[in-house]
Amino acid sequence: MRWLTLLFLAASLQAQPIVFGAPRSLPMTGFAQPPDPGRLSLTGSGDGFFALYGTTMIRLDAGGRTLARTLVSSAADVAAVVPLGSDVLVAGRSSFLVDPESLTTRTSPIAVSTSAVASNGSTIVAVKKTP
Amino acid sequence: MWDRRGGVVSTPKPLFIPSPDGKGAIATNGSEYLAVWNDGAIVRTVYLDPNGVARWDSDLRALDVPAFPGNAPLAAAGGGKYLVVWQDGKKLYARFTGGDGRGQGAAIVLASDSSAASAVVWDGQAFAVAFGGRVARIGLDGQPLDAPRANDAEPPIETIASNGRATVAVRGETCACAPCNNLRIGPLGGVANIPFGAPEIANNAIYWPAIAATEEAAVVAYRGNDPQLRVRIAFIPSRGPSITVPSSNGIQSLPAIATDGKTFLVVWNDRNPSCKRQVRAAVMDAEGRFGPTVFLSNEDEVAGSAPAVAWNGSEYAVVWRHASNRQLGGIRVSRSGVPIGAPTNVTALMPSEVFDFSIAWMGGGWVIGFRQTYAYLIARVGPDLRPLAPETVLGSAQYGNVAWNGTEAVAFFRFDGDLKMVHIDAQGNAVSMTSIALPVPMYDEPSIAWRNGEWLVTGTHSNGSRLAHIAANGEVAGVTEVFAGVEPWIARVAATPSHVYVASEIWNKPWTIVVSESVPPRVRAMR
Repeated sequence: MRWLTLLFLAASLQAQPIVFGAPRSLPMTGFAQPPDPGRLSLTGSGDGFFALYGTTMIRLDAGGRTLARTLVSSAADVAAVVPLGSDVLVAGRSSFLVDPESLTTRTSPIAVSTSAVASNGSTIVAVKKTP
Repeated sequence: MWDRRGGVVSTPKPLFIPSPDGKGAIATNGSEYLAVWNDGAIVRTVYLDPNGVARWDSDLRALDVPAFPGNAPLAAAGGGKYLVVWQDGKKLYARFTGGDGRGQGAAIVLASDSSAASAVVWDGQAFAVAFGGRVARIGLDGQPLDAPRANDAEPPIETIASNGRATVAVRGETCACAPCNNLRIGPLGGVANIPFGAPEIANNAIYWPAIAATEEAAVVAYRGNDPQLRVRIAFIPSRGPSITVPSSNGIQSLPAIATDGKTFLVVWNDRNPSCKRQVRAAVMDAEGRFGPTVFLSNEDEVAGSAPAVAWNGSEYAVVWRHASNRQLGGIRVSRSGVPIGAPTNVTALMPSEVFDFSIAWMGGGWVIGFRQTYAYLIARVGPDLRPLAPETVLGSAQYGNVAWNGTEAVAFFRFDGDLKMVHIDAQGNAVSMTSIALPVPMYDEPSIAWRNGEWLVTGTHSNGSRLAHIAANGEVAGVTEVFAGVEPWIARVAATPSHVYVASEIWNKPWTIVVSESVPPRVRAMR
């Protein structure tokens, strides 16, 4: 019985004329030039990731695809890049907060030299060597 | 300590622990903090409450480590614990501390060489530590878990990161051969094949489609003309942005693809570490996940022609053209993408250049079809790819292809609009040749697929592509228009019992690829 069914289906398939749907173009996408290399800081941010790579801020999705990027001029002497609630803190001699969605920045009065920095979302702690 | 706005919550407090080189790390569980640093002799930790107050009396712990730690320690929080990772110049260690900052269990030796850790993350279930190009995973019970799948063909992992749900790895890339990315990124345990920090750009010319289909997935491999010169894979129907095959040293091109009915073997030209063009391959599953890549050719350089690949029911065979002489080489490849044996020559040294080669199983071995000047020839090799007989001329041709339908092999070749079909027996003998009486003009490469008792053979005309339905005896059952109103020049077909897919390169700029899928027959809709 099963063979009969299969034979019927095969015969039916063969009898059916092939009709094609409308053609579609494959995505004509490519990758842009990568950012200039530099020090890499990569951290989780929301559903994706945030990176500071040299002087380029990058928003990435959960798979690592670049969703947005922008250059930042004040990325020298960065000590740490840490999530701070919905923002990301780029801590250094001149620190700034980044909205990872828009990659817009706001200056922060925090100033740290080479040190370890973490945030529990409401406070920021830096451990550094005293002179 | 500062608040979110940068206001000072507490002024700096000395921890009274010497830290000659100032190397340290700090992690938070979302409330408290654990700071860790080396003091020039040992690794120390201090536990801080949410207000930054150190719990001096009981929570300061010196982890039991040998003297003279080398690089800065690292720390991460997750699952109610912290994991501290440090190096002493000889070994790489990890040790848990509990939520109170006290050390738990013995130190775990992660590496007994001079590997330095680059990152430690909590991936939502376990800690992952990147070190020396590798990754270790440690469960909350301190036991090592299965490490993410190693991929020795890939460059070492430089760092990893996790957002608690997804974990990604960043790998370095050798840019010795051409401008390329310095870093690429992908899921931990997968292939990092996305150029790091490089967004997608639109209006990028794409060309050279290779197509294959299973009942689970239909895919087109093609080359993008973006600055990265990558081979990409698109699904039909679309599953979102196309994916890139694993990269190497820049300049990928000319893919070919075949399937065992479940997964795909993607083959393409790539550059080896010496910047020489070689044939590279990787198995890709129906979800687009790649296995490890492997260079199939190992010679001075292969020619700038697309390799050809076919499946015989138990293994693949891949052939390519040597750059240094007029000859084809090849190799067998297992279902899992592992080369079987060494590369070998599958044709004799030919008197003139070889073009448009393809390969198919013929029952007792493989048949390789190719064009030389304006003649179509076949070469016959055994299952081990050793030549069985001298090459044979089948007829005049500008294009041609060979294929296997599970019972017999055929060659279709075309000169202008004249299409011929040759049956090839299990020993590679051309047993009959039929001129195909097409009712409408069809030109260019005849791509072939077998489906439900008939050959599907493509061709192009001045403003579209067509698909001829040809019975095993050469009779034409009909011709279906696939694309109209475009000017294609390569139309390639793949078929399953339920679907037919055609992909075609468009001749006019901007170069692009159009695809079309057969509408499911009514018998399926009725079920």
